[in-house]
Formats: sequence, C-alpha cells, structure tokens
Amino acid sequence: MRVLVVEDEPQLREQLGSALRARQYATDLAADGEEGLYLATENPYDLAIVDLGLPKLGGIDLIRQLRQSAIRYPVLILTARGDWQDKVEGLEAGADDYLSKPFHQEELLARVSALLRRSSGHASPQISFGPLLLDCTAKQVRLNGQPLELTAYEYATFEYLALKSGKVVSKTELTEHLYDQDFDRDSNVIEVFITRLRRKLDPDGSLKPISTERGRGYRFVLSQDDT
Amino acid sequence: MPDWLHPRSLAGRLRLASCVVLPLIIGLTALILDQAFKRSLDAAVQERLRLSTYVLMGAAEAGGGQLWMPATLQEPRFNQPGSGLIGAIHNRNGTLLWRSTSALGESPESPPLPPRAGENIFAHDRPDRFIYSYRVLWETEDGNRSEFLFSTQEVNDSYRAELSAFRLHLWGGLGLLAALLLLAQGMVLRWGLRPLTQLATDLQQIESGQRDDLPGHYPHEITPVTRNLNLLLQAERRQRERYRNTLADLAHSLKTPLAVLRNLPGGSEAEAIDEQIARMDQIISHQLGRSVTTPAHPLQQAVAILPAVRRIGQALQKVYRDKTVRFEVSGNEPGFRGDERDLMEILGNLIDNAFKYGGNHIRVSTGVLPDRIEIIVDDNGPGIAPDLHGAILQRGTRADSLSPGQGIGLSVVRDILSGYQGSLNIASQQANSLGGARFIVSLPRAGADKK
Repeated sequence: MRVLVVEDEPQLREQLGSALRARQYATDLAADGEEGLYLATENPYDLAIVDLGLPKLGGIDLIRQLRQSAIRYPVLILTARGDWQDKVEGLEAGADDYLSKPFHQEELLARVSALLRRSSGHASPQISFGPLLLDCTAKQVRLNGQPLELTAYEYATFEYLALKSGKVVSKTELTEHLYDQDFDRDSNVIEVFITRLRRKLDPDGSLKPISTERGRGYRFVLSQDDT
Repeated sequence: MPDWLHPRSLAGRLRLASCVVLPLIIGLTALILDQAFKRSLDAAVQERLRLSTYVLMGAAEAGGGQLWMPATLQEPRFNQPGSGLIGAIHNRNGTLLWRSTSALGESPESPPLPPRAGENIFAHDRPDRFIYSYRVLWETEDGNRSEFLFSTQEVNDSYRAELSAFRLHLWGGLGLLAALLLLAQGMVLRWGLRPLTQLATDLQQIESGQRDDLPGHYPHEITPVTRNLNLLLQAERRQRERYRNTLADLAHSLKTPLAVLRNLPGGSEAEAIDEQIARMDQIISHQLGRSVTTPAHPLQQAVAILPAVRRIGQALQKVYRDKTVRFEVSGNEPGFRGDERDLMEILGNLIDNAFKYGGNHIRVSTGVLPDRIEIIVDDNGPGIAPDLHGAILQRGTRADSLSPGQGIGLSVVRDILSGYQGSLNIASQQANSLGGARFIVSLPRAGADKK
C-alpha cells in the first residue's frame, strides 16, 4: 500500500513518514500543497494524509482538486484547530476522515488501516479466505489459525493482492503500490516475493492461492468467506 | 395613561396629532363662520324691520290723542294677509291701537317696551318671530304729547331656513375638507416617512440574515446613520474574521509542535510527557474554542441551523461509514444569531457524540418557542443515567482539571452557549422517543424582547 503525506512541518512530516514506513506502507512526503497535488496526481496512491494548513495550496483546495481529477483513494485530513467548520469543509471537499493534532501515532495508523480496508470494500479488519486469515490491524496472516512468519514486504504484497482478490494485479501496479518513489524498481524482486509467499501460504501445494496470469500479472484466487 | 396615547411609531404619533389638531381647527373655524353669518343675518333683519317701522311711522297721523292710519301702506307686505310681516301700534298702556291688514285679525304679540321715548328694541330671541319696537313721543298740533309704540314683527321661517341651509353647507363642506386633509396628510406622512420604514425593513433583513448591510439609497438626513452603521458592521465582520484567522494560526503553530512531541520515541518518561501534552492540548483547545465566542447582537446575521445540521450529519456519516446510522432532521428553521463557527462547534460536538455513543438512529429537531429556540439531539443509544447528567455537563469546565483522554466537546459547547446566554441540558430518557440520550440546546430567541 502506498501512502502520500502532505505536511508542512518538517519534523512531523518525517515522523509520519518513518511511522508509516515502519508499517510497510510505501510512503512519499510532500512539504506544501503544490508538491502534494503534483505527487498525488502523478502516482497511484492508496491513501493520502493531508494537513489542512498548508502553504501555497491549502489542504481543502488540494483535496477538492484531487477529487475533481477523479482521484478516488481515501484522504485523511489533519487539523490543528480541531474546528468543526474545518472538519466539515474538509469532509465535504472529499476527505474521508479527520484527525485533530496532536494525535497519537497509533491512532493515526489505526485510521489509515481502517480507511484502506474500507476503500477495498471490507468492513472488518479481519478477512478470511478459507484457511487463510488476513488481520489488517495486527498486520498478520494466519493459516489454519497459525500465524505465518512473513517479512514486511511479503505481508504488504499479500495484503495488496488479498484486498483485491479476484482481480488481476500487474507487476507494475504492485511495484507502484508497494514502493515509494525513491525505490529502485526491479520487477524480479516481485517475482521473488511471490515465490516465497506461495511457499509460505501453501506449504503442501494444495491451496494455490496466487495464480500467474501470463503477461498480465498475478491474481489472488481465493474468495472472501461470508461473515 | 392608556397605550394609544403613546404610539410606538413616528407615523402613529404624527397621525394621532393630526387627528386631534385638525378637527379642532376645522371645528373652531366652522363655529366662527357660523356666528359671523348669523350676526350679519340678524343685522339685515333688524335693518329691514327698522325701515318697515319707519314706513308705519311715516304713514301715521296723530291728533287729540287719536291715531290715524291710511288704508294701504307703502310697504305691500303690510297689506297682504299672511305675508309674515305685521305692523302694530300700541299706546303707552300697551293697548293695541292699530294693526296691519297682514295680521289677519289675530292680535300680534306684545312688543317689548323700550325704556325711554326715542329708543328702540330689536327682539330676536322670540321662538318664532323677530320684533322691532320703537317708542315715540308725539307732540300734536294742539300741544298735547302722546306716546306710541310702533312695532313690526316678522315670522322667522325664512331666516331659519336660510341659516340652516348655510350651516348645512358650512359643516358639510368643512367636514369634507377635513377628511381630505387627513387623507392627504396620511399620504404625505407615508411618503415622507418611507425612508425610515425602508430603514426598518432593511435592518430587519439584516437581522433575519437576508442581507449583509444597508443599501445606499437614503435621504441625506439619515445617510450618516446608515453609513456609519454599515462601517460598523463591516469593521465588526472584518475584526471577527481577523481574530479567527489569528486564532487558527495560533492553534496551528501550537498544536503541530505538540504533535511532533507526542510522537517522539519516548523513553521511560514517555507516559509523563504524553500526559503533559494532553493537558496542554486540552488547555489550548479549550481556551481557543472559548475565545472565538463574541456576544451576540441583534444585527449579527442569522445563520441557518438546519443546513448546518445536515452538512455535519452528512460529513459524519462519511466518517462513521462502518456504522449505518439513520440521520433525521426535523422542525422549522429558527435561525442562529451569531457566528457560524460557533454554531458548527455546538452542533458538531453534539452530533459527533451521538454518532460515537448513540446507536444507529439520530434525530436533530428544532423548536421555536415564544422566548427561545431549541435544538434537540436525540439518539437511540444506551442513554445517560440521570445521576451522571450533572457530572457530564460539569466535566472540563476548568480545562486544567481534566484528566487526559476526557473529551472537552461538551464543555466547549457550554462555554460557547454561555456567550450567547444559552444553555445545554440533558433530558431524562423518557422524554426521548428514540429511547437514548437527549441533549437540548436552548438559545434566547432573536427579538424576543421586542413587542
């Protein structure tokens, strides 16, 4: 999952960046509204975190322009004032949730995870696909109740594919959503992750959760259990 | 004194004054004209009767205590029966010596006797006639002196007819004149006072939020007032705007560092630091939230409440998307006289609480009572136990008494409301048909102190 952070205060911006990266979100940082708008329209993000009091281009205007250019991913706004008028204006402009400063990082990460889950159409943070259980809050995958030992990138790859279950996801899309813009992209890395994931998710080769669609990408074939 | 003697409008005062003064002047005029006409009519009658009496005196011949009158007189009405003019001659004892043919044999009324010879009396106070009598002392050729009383009487029918015709004309004409004058004055008043009426309407529109300031077209007597009022309103608006921006900047510049601090990797002191940050945060929120509130004044634009409720409802439905909440708005638009931000704070905090704690059905209703307006937020959640009502409303009245994590939303609401002389109450659960908590915001009604 790839996240954009638009915040003018350098220290807070870096903090947010490192907190999100620690949770395996590919994260890009922007220091003002204009840079934010440029990045937001150039890259395929899964979520944006936007401070309302931005220089050059205000947060609300930024969100409005995003929505006008048909960019649909969820936006979380940060308000310093905590003012209802700001919150309502932000939500009306197209934001999906708000957080008042000063916030706890855990709170922010919980909101981010909830927004991502919601945008992929899943109501509960725990989604089960037959014997596999994806826990978006704990960032964990369980097979028949047993937690799997996944690296952060493996988890991120799995989560992205699982949340888009049934859909074909290209290698480019995976790269774009799993790595931030500074990452040196090499599609072989993805292939390695997929191979390792298959081994861990399906040790005895009976489940075959990820199929390779020749020339198009990968598909998570298991469908979500009705809860 | 009765109320109608103290009209509350300028037009009413002027109208009352002219209703009193105009009839008074017209009535007095009529009375004077009436008297003058009557007097001149009387004088004319007197003159006529005096001449007729002279005719009698000229025709009479006296000698040896006897009096002779010719068979016909120069004045034809004396000769004509029923002409209304009767001549008579009495001696000094009051015995009738002669009467004119017109008397038709009936004895004329006895005329008043002037005190001395050579004097006359005009009696115009008899009910049906005027009598003119002239007392004369005649010395005949034989040197005898005898006194006679010559008199003419005239029936006053025609006089009365003439007088009443005149009065009819006079009063009728003046009455009509008075009515026309009152009507004209009414119109003049309306026209003359129109700028003031316009001013009142414009002010009302400002009060009801239909316009921002007074439009420019007033007579130059009141433009200084309207111009200054406009300047004052604009200055106040700008001031509020500037104040708000300053506060927003202040909040931003205080809270962003707090956010940085809060998320620094803490060591053993992390908890203590976090607690202090929470306190600072709450004090900032509390003080800044409170200081936006400016006392309401009647020329403040009214802000529509229901659209704000709907906006907040929609925005929060987006935030609480996982929880399918039925959000209803009902009631008439009461209008909030005050700052839009304050209204949003009040509604936002209450509705957010309802979304957070209140089940899946929320209803916001408004009520307009004679002296106040009410905004009621109902939900179908678990409600609030009566013994907690006081504690919930009291919580956070002093920001530094808060323990971390406690919401200060309700205390901000109460602070803002107190700036508007309003109040926040929690109603008993029975009052709420949805069965959950019910918060009631009461605000004094705009213009409730006016008639």
